[in-house]
Amino acid sequence: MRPVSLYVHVPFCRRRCQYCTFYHVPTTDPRLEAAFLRALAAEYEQAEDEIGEAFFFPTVFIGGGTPSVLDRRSIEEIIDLIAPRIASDGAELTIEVNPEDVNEVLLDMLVRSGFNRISAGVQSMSGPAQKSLGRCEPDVNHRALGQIKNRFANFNVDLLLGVPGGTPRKLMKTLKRIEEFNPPHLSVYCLEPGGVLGPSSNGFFESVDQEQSADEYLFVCRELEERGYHHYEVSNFARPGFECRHNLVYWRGGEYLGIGPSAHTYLAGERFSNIASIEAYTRAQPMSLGAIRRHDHRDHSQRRLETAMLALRTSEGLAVEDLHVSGSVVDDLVGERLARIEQGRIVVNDRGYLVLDEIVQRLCRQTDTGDHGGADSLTAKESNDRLNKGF
Amino acid sequence: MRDQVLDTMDLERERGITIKSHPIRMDYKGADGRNYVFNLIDTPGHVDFTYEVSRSLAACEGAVLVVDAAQGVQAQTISNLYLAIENGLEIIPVINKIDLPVARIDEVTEQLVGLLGISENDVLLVSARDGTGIAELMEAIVDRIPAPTGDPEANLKALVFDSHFNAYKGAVIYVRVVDGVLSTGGAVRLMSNDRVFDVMETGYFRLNMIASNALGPGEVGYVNTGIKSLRETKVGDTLTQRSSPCDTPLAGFKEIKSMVFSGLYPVESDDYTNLRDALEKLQLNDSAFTFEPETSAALGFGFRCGFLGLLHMEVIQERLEREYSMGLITTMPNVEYRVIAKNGDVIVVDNPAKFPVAGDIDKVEEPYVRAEIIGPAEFLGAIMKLNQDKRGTFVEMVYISVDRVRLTYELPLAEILVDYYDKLKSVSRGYASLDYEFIGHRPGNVVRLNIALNGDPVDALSIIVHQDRAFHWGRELTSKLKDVIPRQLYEVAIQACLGSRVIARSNVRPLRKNVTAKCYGGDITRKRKLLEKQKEGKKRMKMVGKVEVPQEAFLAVLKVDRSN
Repeated sequence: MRPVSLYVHVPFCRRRCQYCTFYHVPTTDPRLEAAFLRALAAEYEQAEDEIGEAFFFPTVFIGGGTPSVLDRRSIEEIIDLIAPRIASDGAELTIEVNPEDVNEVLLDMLVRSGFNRISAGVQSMSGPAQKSLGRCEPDVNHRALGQIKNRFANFNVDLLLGVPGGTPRKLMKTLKRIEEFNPPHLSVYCLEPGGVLGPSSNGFFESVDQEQSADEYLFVCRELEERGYHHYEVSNFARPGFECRHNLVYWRGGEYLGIGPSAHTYLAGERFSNIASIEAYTRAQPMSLGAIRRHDHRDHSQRRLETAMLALRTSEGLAVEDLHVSGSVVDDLVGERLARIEQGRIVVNDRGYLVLDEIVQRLCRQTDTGDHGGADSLTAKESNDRLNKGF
Repeated sequence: MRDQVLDTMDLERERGITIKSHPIRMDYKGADGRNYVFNLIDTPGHVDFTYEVSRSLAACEGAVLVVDAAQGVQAQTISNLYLAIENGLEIIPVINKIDLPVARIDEVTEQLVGLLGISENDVLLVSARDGTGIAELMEAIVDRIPAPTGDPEANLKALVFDSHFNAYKGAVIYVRVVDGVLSTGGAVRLMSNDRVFDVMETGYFRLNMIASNALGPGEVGYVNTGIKSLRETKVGDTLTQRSSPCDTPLAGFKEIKSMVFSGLYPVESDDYTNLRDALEKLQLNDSAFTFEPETSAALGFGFRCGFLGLLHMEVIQERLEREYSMGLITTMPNVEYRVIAKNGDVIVVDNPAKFPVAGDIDKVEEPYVRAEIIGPAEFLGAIMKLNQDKRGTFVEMVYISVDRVRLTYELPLAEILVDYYDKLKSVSRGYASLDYEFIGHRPGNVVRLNIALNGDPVDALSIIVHQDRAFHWGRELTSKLKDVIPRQLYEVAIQACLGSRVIARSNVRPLRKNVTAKCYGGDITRKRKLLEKQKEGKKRMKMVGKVEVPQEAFLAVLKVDRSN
């Protein structure tokens, strides 16, 4: 049986968060929710037919948006839809929640539906920081984490770095308050003005200081590593054994199906992206994959770039033999203490993660001339053949 | 009809300049009822093209000297005027753009009267835009400029004053017939190199070229030679019959020589062959442009190119980037030095990287120019100070009108290359103009200044500077490079060295943060595109060792402020 991971994108949110660049709509309109569920079911059936051969979901991730704003019955409906293909043994089922939505009733339902991992959008435990981000009071986070911890052995806490006015000392306070719940997993992101965030109108993000973000990042890395967390990806830390298996699929080049508006799919070496519009998504009647999804054509060098950039994000690193640069480029990275060599693989360290884009550029600089094949080396013909055959 | 109809290159139209001569023939019915044919040549005015201009003028009987009513007499007006006088031309002074609100007709008239020793009445006032004074100008051409003389029965003697290259027709030369008749099919000879060819076609210029069977004395036209490059069809040469040549060639022929040199390198080394092809194509149409292969330890394979002057260099570089869309690295322009070694050898150095070490040098000679600067008297002090700072020797000062001065200085050409013109414009609020001519090599106390990145000297960043200014240059250059070289993965140490001695240094701190932290939800494409966009930006950078050096760095020296 072929393992294919599943991502479900729920685009609804109560309100817009300025720092978020994932596709979302600030509405919880029940009629739109119903239309979304119908379209989702239709897309899912089409995708099942397309993949054809027997496959199963080793991991499922319901993200957004804010999946926790969905009606309870809607979440159950989604699970019912996909349940037949979820691995019967040891599947990882994650759902993202906003701490504001957390209560016993929701958690009960999630447990009953088979979820075994919660990802909580905490962001910060500092009042002023939460306020400037437009998020809930720290006490709400605190209560929610307590309830989650009571019901789930595996959960993640999302934190944001580089919030204007922040310092490593203030960050230490957030870490202390979170330490109380001993989360098995933390994801740590930097606010990125103009980059991931895009331009904002109120000037808030313009004041994000890259130096501050860098200081905070190195501080968090050190603190969490000292507490025994495994820094297994640029932004992800886990107690050993609690690494997010779903996200590892992305970084390791595993296959996944994404459904819902703006969801992304990677099957048979090809990437697809769904249209980022709930209106267009729900209006496609009858639902056809061709109408809502776009194929992302990649040539050889683009495939190699992807493989390199994904592998270098993780503590597994990239096999040096898959590189096409001269040895001195690698030696320089090691010499400048941005990376190390572990069993023939180049692994970036914390300081290196901060400048990972630059490192990827250096390591891929010479690979774009000439065609050497590479880590991911489907020829154009091979991938076309696969496409024509369907999956 | 569009403006600037004769300036056909995009570059000419954008900058409002003329780079290439443009001949055109015009029929005119005079006030006396007779029909006249005018052979007109629009010439460049810039100093870089002085030789071409002088040959175009030699092809003429008279010159219409057009002065802008707002700007007045410029340095290049005077040098072109002298060229015209040297060629014995009848001069019709014209003030154009008199319709401009800022026109200063009286003042400019006074300048022209002083310059030419003529009466005010001889100056024609024209607005080419609204047609004022055009009729008078046409009549003045008929009245004042003598009709060409020349013997149609004599042996052919024609002046080559320009050329262009056509892929199908080969070299197309522009000629003015002095004596005899030039006919299609005739066998002819270029006198400077005895190149013989058959006239494939001859004709004259309207907006396009019009074939005609023959050109007689006084006529300007073209000849399709079928010759495969412009190297043999030299401006200033004399064209004559093969069988019965004229006795002596026309006077004034010169081989033109490059004055300014610079290295041209492809950013992507794979583009080397493309660059060579592009240079060859440009040279087909511009025999004054020279190039030969060279290598640089820092930049790899490239070419050392020779230009007539700075404008010529800019034009070539811009055409390469524009017409061949090629990422180019241009090294700092330099002049040609004559180095006399201790063992008596004379070495001609056109690349700072090849400048011998100080211990081997007996003396160095550098090219000098005589510069003429014309500007408002109120800026006299500032202009003189600029020339002193640039190692100039004062020669002469003449008031050409009550408040306009012509200054003459002798300067090392190297001093003019860098930022002289910008400085001159800035100290004179844009009013001063410059013209110069080469006057020979003179001894100069110059040294080679090296720039090292992370301890390794970068040959393409070497420059040759005056000994007394070396420390200032070193400081300025290291600080400019610090601004130009972006923060990157590793720290970059920039050092300026004289021999092994470090005389200035600066540092580019390593980049702290450049990463997209969030990469999940499976959207790998977006992240990849972000990297590809960053990569696009890096394409304009050259890896020198492990340092990413942007193109501008190699010209950073041009931005060094040397006035202090």
